[in-house]
Order: sequence, then structure tokens, then C-alpha cells
Amino acid sequence: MAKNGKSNYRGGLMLRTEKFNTRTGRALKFMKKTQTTLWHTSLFVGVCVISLGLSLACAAPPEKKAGKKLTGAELYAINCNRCHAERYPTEFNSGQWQTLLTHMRVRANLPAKQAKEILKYMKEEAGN
Amino acid sequence: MKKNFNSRILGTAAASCVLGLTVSPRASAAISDEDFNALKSTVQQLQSERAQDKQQIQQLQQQLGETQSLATNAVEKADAVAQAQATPVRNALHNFTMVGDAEIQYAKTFGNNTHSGFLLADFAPIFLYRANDSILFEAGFDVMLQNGAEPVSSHDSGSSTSVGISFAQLDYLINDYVTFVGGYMLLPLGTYSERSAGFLNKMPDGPLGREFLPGAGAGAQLRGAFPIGESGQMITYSVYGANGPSSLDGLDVAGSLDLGGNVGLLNTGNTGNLHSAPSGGGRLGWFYPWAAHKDLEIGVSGQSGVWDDAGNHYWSAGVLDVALHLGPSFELKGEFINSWYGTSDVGTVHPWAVWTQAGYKLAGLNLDMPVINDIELVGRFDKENDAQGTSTDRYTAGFVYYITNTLLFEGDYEFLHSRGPLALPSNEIILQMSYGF
Repeated sequence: MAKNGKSNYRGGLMLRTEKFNTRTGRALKFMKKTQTTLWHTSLFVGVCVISLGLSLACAAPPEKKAGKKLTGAELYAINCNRCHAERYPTEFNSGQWQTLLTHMRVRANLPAKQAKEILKYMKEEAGN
Repeated sequence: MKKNFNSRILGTAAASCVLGLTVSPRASAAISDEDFNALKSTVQQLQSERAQDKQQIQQLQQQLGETQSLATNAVEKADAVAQAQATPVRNALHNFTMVGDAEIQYAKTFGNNTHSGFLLADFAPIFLYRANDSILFEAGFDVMLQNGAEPVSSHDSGSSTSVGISFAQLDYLINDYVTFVGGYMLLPLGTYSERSAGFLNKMPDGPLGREFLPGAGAGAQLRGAFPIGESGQMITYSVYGANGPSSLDGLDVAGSLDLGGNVGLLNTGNTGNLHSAPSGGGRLGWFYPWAAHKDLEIGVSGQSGVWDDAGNHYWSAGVLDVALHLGPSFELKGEFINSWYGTSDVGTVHPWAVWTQAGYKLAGLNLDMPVINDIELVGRFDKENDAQGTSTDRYTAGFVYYITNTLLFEGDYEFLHSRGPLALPSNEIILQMSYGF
């Protein structure tokens, strides 16, 4: 019984509520704090990820690993663009490319395997 | 009584139901004549279609048998042909392709009291005949149109067309590493004559100093390349023998050197070298790419041999060539040319020259503007000294506008400082349309 004789129920409830509220409040505070921390962390991580992505995008492409065979397109870029602007595969037909690559193999002193790979690349998209 | 009456009604109803159930099926079991006839005609139709299908199957089986017989014959024929070809028959295909370039110019030479004018600068077709994967004959011509000289005085009048062979050579690819070249061949002294002539040169005119070297010569050559690893790195080589330089008039004085003659067919119709022995030469190159469009090439080349009729004096030359690419937008290349030859009047004459040329494509600025992206700025410094009193320094600033990948609009302004008895004219501005086909 409360001192004034009234039931302590309400008071108990209030007390429990208060306690609950206090705990809830603490919980809420904790959650809020956690949320803030999470938000900050997410923001930081996001900035890091974006920065990393941008730097990777701007970085020079990695060198070809030793031993990996170069494709016809890569060999074309390495050898042919040194002397002249790009010639498109559709400019000549397959037979003409055969003749032209023989001419270029002699003129530019291309190794045989590289010349064959470049020829294969040009023939794939050759005109009619 | 009421119960009895109800029972009777109930029984009557039940009997009626039973009667109805037993009577109705008997009535529905009967088929009308119409339905029977329809069914009969359907069956007859199906029988007829079945007979047709059987006939078709028999025909298809017969055709299949004939096709199999033909296929067997074809395989047997192919085997017979393959056996007959035990001794390989080499046939030539005579594939023909023409490539080349043409240039038209508008130019103004300052000083010398000359006016600006249009000209057909060059038409240089290249004929390519390919017999098979290992044999190619290629020939390049230079067709030039220039004013003629009036027969009495030296004043320009009329026009004359000259057609010169710049090269005509037979290429035989012996194996992956050795190619034989013979005929009137481009000489691998530096890389300019093989890789930078015509529309490949980003400026309307060639660099100084190339006139100290023979661009082509009658001879034979072995050339090829050895790859190093799989990165594109390689060593290239060329070794050749040629008739070599000769004398314009048979004398062995400084002014008699002839770098463009001695092609093997004499005026008398006989074959022969104008002097006692052929010249020998070659080039060794190293190409190192470390990424796409990023590479370095260094080459050393030279030629030596007698030049005068008596064979008493040697002519020799050495060239160092370098080319650097730093990405798709920037290139730098150049040559150092050193030559020397003995004479009876002034001793050893030592002409030399150096040129360096850089180009930057504005697409590298990533401005994403259509006209700007198609422009390349080029600059060149060249210097020559003929060791007979004439020296020239030249600074050239120019541009290339790529209308297409093979149609170029070029322009340059040349700041010239030339002195000596054979000094070049003053500054020059040249605009050129160059088409590579």
C-alpha cells in the first residue's frame, strides 16, 4: 500500500513504465547511436569504395601477364597503328587482306605468327 | 389407409424410374443412317490417305538410297584425287590488289620572287600480285607532273609527265623467319623510305638528309623477325647486297656521286655493275612494346661499298633510327644520318643530317569535340650539312586533320635557314590533301 493508502498499482505501473521507458530510452538512445555509427560507417565505406572505383578506372590497364598470347586485335594495335591510321576490316575483302598482310609482313618485318594472327582478325570482319 | 396410399404412390414412382432408366439406353443405342454413312466415309478417307502415305514413304526410301550411293561415289572420287596429288601441284593464283596514295598541294615559297600555286604533288600507285601464301611481287611508281622547259630557253612551258619506279621487288617468304627479297628494292637504311613515305608521312614534305642515302637499289636481301616472348617484343633484321652508288660521269670527284643509278642494265644493253664490286648493308632493330600504343623501337643500319668506276673509293653510311609511342595520342621519331665517301679532289666528304618529328593527337585531351578530336599537331626539326659548303636548319609546325582514316588534310609552315651554294629557298607554306588507298 502506498503511504496515502491508495493502491500502489498505478505507482508500480508507473514505476515499471518509467523503468521500462528508461530502459527503452536507453535502448532507443543506443539504437540511435548505433544507427548514427552505422550511417557514418556506411558513408565512409561508400566513399572508400567510390574512390577505389574511380582510381581503378583512371589507372592504366595492367600489363599483359608474361606468357599470355596476344590477340589479333592487340597485335594490330601494337604493330599497325605505329605507322598509319587504323584500316577497317571492311575496307577490303578476305582475299585482298591476304595480299595486303603479305605485303605488310615484308614491309614492316612482322614475325610470321603475328602476321597470321592479324590476318585472321582482319578476315573475320572483312567486307565482301 | 393414408399410409397404404402413400406406399402405393412411392412404389409406382420407383417403378417408373426403373422403367425409364432401362428404356432410355435402348433408345440411344440406335444410330441414324446419316451418322453411319458419315462414319463410313471418314474411315474410307483415312484408308485412302494411309495408302498415299505408304506410297510417299516408298519414294523417299528410294531417293535416300540414290543419295547414299552418290555420296559414296563422291568420297571415293575425293580419295582418288588425293592419291593422285601425291606429287603436289603448285599453282599460282595471280591475286591482284592495288594500293598507294596521291597528294595534291597548294604551296607558297617565300623569297625567290615566286607565287603560290596548285600542283599534283604525287600519284604513287603500288601494284601487288600474290601468287600464293609465300610469293608476292610488288611494284611502286611515282607519277609526277611538272612544267616542261622550252627547248630554246629554260623558261617553263607546257608540262611533262614522268613515271618513275620507286621499287619493284619479288618477295619469297621462305619460312617463318626468313624472307627473300630481290629486284629494285627499298633499302632498309633507317625506316623512312619503308614506312613513312607518301601519305604515311604526316607532313607535306620529307625530312632533310634523306637525299644523302639511296632510297632503293638493285640487289637481293634476306630479312625477317624473331619474336621474344609473347608480349610483341621482337628483333628484326635485314641484310642485303646491292650494286651500290656510282659516278655520274665516271669521275671520282666530290660532285660526281650518284645515289640513284647503277641499276644493272647498261646503256649498251648489256648487264653489269658500273664499278668493280657490289655494296653490302643491313639493319638490326629492336622493338619493345610494354602496352598497347606504348612502344619503343631502335634500329641501326648501314651500307658500304665502292662507288667510283675504278673502285678506288668507298661510299659508306650509318643511320640510327628511333621511334617512341606513349599512348595512342603521342609519337616521337627521328633519324641520325651519317655518310662519308672518298674522293680524289677533296678527300673524304662527310654529309650528315638529323631529323626529329613529334605528333600529338588532340583526342588525347578528352575534350569530346568532333573537329578537335580529328586534329593532330605535328612539329619537326631537321638539319643537314652536305659537307660541300651548304647547310640548312629547318623548323616546321603543322597539323593533320583526319577527314577519314585515309583522307588527310595537312598543312605546315616551314621556317628555313639555309646557306651555301646550294641553299634552299626561303620559308614555305604548304597545304596538302593526301589520300591513301
